[in-house]
Order: sequence, then structure tokens, then C-alpha cells
Amino acid sequence: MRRPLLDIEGLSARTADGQAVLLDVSLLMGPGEVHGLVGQSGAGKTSIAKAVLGILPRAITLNEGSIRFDGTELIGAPAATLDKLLGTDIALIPQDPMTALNPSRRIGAQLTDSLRLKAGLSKSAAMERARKLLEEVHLTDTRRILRAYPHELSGGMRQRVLIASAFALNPRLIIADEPTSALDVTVQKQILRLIRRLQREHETAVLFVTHDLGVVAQICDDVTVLFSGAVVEQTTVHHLFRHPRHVYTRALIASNPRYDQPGASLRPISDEVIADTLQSLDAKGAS
Amino acid sequence: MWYRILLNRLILAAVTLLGVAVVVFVLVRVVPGDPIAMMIAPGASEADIQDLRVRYGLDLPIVQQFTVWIKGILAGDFGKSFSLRQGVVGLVVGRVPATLELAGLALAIAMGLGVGIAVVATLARGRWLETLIDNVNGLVLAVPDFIWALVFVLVLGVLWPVLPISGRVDPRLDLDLASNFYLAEAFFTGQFKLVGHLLTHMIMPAVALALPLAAIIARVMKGALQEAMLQDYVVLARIKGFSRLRIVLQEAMRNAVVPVLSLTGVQFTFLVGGTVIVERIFSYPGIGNMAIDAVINRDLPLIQGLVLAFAIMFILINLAVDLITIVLNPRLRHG
Repeated sequence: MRRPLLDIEGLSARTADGQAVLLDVSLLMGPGEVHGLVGQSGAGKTSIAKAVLGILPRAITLNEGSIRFDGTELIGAPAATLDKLLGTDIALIPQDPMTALNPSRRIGAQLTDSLRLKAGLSKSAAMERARKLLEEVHLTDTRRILRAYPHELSGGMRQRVLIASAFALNPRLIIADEPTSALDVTVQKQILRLIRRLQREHETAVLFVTHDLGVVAQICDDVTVLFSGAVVEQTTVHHLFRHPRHVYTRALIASNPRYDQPGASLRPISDEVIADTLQSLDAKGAS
Repeated sequence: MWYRILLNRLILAAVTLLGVAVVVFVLVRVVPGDPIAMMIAPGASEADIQDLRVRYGLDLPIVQQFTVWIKGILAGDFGKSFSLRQGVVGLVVGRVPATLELAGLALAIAMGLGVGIAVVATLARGRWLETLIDNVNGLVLAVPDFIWALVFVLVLGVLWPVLPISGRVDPRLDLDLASNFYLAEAFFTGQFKLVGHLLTHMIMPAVALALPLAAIIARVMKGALQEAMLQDYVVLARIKGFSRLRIVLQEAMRNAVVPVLSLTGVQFTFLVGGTVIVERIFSYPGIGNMAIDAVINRDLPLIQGLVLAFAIMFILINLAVDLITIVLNPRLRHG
């Protein structure tokens, strides 16, 4: 592997009352790779994303490990270093497009502010660039959209705007935090394809947080399966679906709804599997 | 949309004013104290008193008195002051600008202070400075405006006399002004020395009126800002690497300002009410000061006129607040 772009090593975090949120999580991403973080709710996937972005809630503290971006340690880095990296080299595609845009500012203003502040473009140059970005995410009538307020756009359109905003400064790493889970199914596919295409064109690395293995299969190169804050399995997507090693991974794959077998009932992950998984994690922790 | 809101408000305002007119008219006649007794020298004969009573229409039944008064108002005549022997309209209109300027200045100070303190407290989240601000704020909140006024007079007017403690201008000054809006006119005609002079007279009463409102604004604004800071779009702005100050001002402020504004509108009417006592303390020639004289003299037409003037100011303030709220919130604009 080339020099890693994102190198998370032995990351552990716990809540104020001592509950473990992350347990010795390590993860390696090269430039231009798409890495999936999968797991049930509460598995810690969003906490990892937030830790990278430095926006973990106050109640959660990182007590061990390191997060290096292109060789720079992010944990405990001075605010100036983070402010320089964030937005320019690291960007976020948020989960819920309905709340991630400021309701009282026009789309144009929200899309151009980092172009003006971070890239130093003039107002008119930034507007022109923003218009091109909107075209890149397949929005038409871009001039109207730039003048519109968020409530005048649909959820899918807003998510496209947010994707345009994430790619605006051509970052090297984008963190996509369940970017499709708030959208309806038909729009989900388009948005995934859009992220995949832009990611290839810009050679951007994407850390893709999701609970949906179908999404992982569609978009990711590598994948980390999390359970209860710990890594259960880490491999390529190809491998994961062909030869899932861990019992939990197998159960997770089996629980995915199969659209090619109509009438088949859903298979929830059994308590037995969960107990086994917890036991295996304990064994790992003890060793 | 705009004119519909305006029309609604005008109808509502007319109803409100009629209600105020009835209440004040009845009240000033029910409370003890005889206006005629205040006008006439002690020891006047019963016949003289009855004479005056007839002259001012006070012998008529109350309903009839009311219709006479309302008919006059509809013709633009609010009656004649008992004590000053001049038309009420002229007296009130001559004094309203002084009160408006004082209240306006106080509001500007309150908003500047309140918003500034809220922003600093938000930036100082979780540090000792935030605790200090909260505590001082609570203290200021508990002290009413007239206490501040008395403290200011004592400290800055008597113990360390740096500011004038009475009036609106130095009476020896030769004013070259066409309107009674001294401060605004002096400012817009470029007489900045006069502006400074006026401000030395207005600053103590204005700050006294402003402090309680500033504390309320600071408290509510801080809460609104801290809630806004948790919104997804603010978190996203943080991830864009913007400075904390920019995020507070650009992302959080505008959405936090809406609840603060509606509250400020209500509270501002209390501030205008507060001018009555504070103007008295500083012998400031506004309608509040005049209202106290009018009550002491049982000057019924003047009291009625002044109360209506206050009512009109309250209605206009609330209308302005509603319109500004619509301008600030794009989602309401299209509704």
C-alpha cells in the first residue's frame, strides 16, 4: 500500500459513565479508496466518523489511539491545524439533507462561503464555480437553485447540493455519514451512483458509514464490520461477500433483504449470534 | 400577503384602541380625586364649582361624556388640557419625540449589549467566563430600571458629577432645530457637537431603561444561540473549518434572532412603560413625565390623550416586530 491517507490506530473511546463506545479500532485507507464502515446502530461507526472530524459530543472522550491524516496527527491537534484541514482536505456529506442546510441562507451563499474563505475566490468567481458544481451533480436550472432557500428544494436536490459542497474544494477525504438513509429508495440509487462517479473523477477517498450491506457492495472497495464498538472483520468487499469469516458478518449478510427472492422472510440476527460475537470480542480483549 | 397582514392589523388596532379608550375613560372617572377641586382656589363657592363642572361637561352622565369625547376624537379634537389650557393633541405630539428618542436609544443599547453578551457567552461555552456572565446577568435581571436610574444619579451625577442629571438639553443652549426629534435632526443635519451634548443628557436614563431589557435579551439569545449551535448545519459549518465567531454570527445568529425578536417586542413595551418613572427621575421632558403631572392634576383629557398615545406606540411596536420577523424568516415569507 502507498502511504496511507487515513490511519486510525488503536482508537478507544468511552462515555462519561465509563461505557465503551470504541474498542481498539484500527483502520487504514489509501488515497482514492472507498472504505465502508458497517454495523448496527450503536456499533460505533458514526463515532469513528465524528472522531476523525473532531466533533465527538462532549460526553464521549477518546482515551487511546491515534488518527493520522496524511501523516498529521488529528487527536489533540491545535485548532488552527484542524481548521486548515477541515473543509479543504477533509469534507463531510451529512446524513440528513433536511437539516444540514441553514434554513435562512440562500443555497448560493452556503455553497460559495468555503470557496471564498478557503480558496480565496471573488464573489462572482465563487458563484460561477458553484454553478458548475451544481451542474456536476446533475442539477438543472442552477441559477434558480443558487437563489433559492433550502425549503424550496426537495430532499434529493438538497443532498445533491450538499454533495456539491463536499466536493467543492476537491478534498482528499470525504466522510459520507449514511448519506442516503434519509432519502427514498429511488433517489438513494442515483445519489450512490453520483458519489461513486465524482469519487472516481476526483480520485477522492471516501469513508462510507452505513448500516446497509447492499450499499457497501455497490460502492466500497474495503469494508470494516463493527459490533459494539469493536472491529469484527476487516477485508475487501469482494472477500466479505464470498468468504465472510466471522459469524456476525455471516448473520449480517443473511439478514439483508433479498429482492431476488420474493416472499422470502427476513432473517434477523439471532441472540445466539450476538452472544457468540460478544464472547469472541471478550476473548480478543483478554488476549 | 403584505397588505393583508397590514389590513388585519389595522382593524385589530382600531378595536384595541377603542377598548383602551373605554377603560381609561371609565378608570379616570372612578378613581377618587375631583378635577375641579384641583383647578379652583380653596374656599370657592358651591355655585362656582358647579359652573366649572358644566363648562367642562363633567355634569353630564358618563355615557354622554364618552360620546362627546369620541366624537371629538373622530374630528381630530382630543379635548383641552385642564391644567395647561391647551389642546391635548399639540401637547402630546410636542412631547412624543423626546420619549421616542429616549426609548429608541435605550432599545439600541439593550440590543447591542444583550446580543454582544450572548455571543461572548456562547463563545466562552463551558469556561469560567460563561459562569461569570450568567451570574452577573441574573443580578442585572433582578434590579428594576428606576433603581438603576437612582444609582446613576447618585454615582455619576452627585458623588462623581460627570453627567448632567436633568432635562434633555442645557436650557441656555440656542437650538437651531425645526422638529422635536432633537437627536435625529441634529444627527442628520450634521450638528455632531449637539448630538454629543444630547447624548450626555440621555445616556443615564437610556442605560437605566436598557439594562433590564439587555439582561433578558442576553439570556434568551444565549439559549437560542446555544440551541442553534447544535443544529446539523452549524456542525457542518464547523466541519468546513470556519472560525467559531463566524459560525456564531453567520450560521447561528439569524435563526436564533427570531425568538429573541418577538420577545424583545413585548419587552420593549415594558421599557416604554418604564419611561414614565425614569423620565420623572431625570426631569426628562417626554410624555411619561407629562403623564405623572397629568395624573397629579387630575387632568382627565390629558391623561386620556397620553394613554392613547402609549397604546398607539405599543401597537406600532408590535406591528414592526411582526413585519421584521417575516423579513428574517424566509419560510414565512412565502406562506
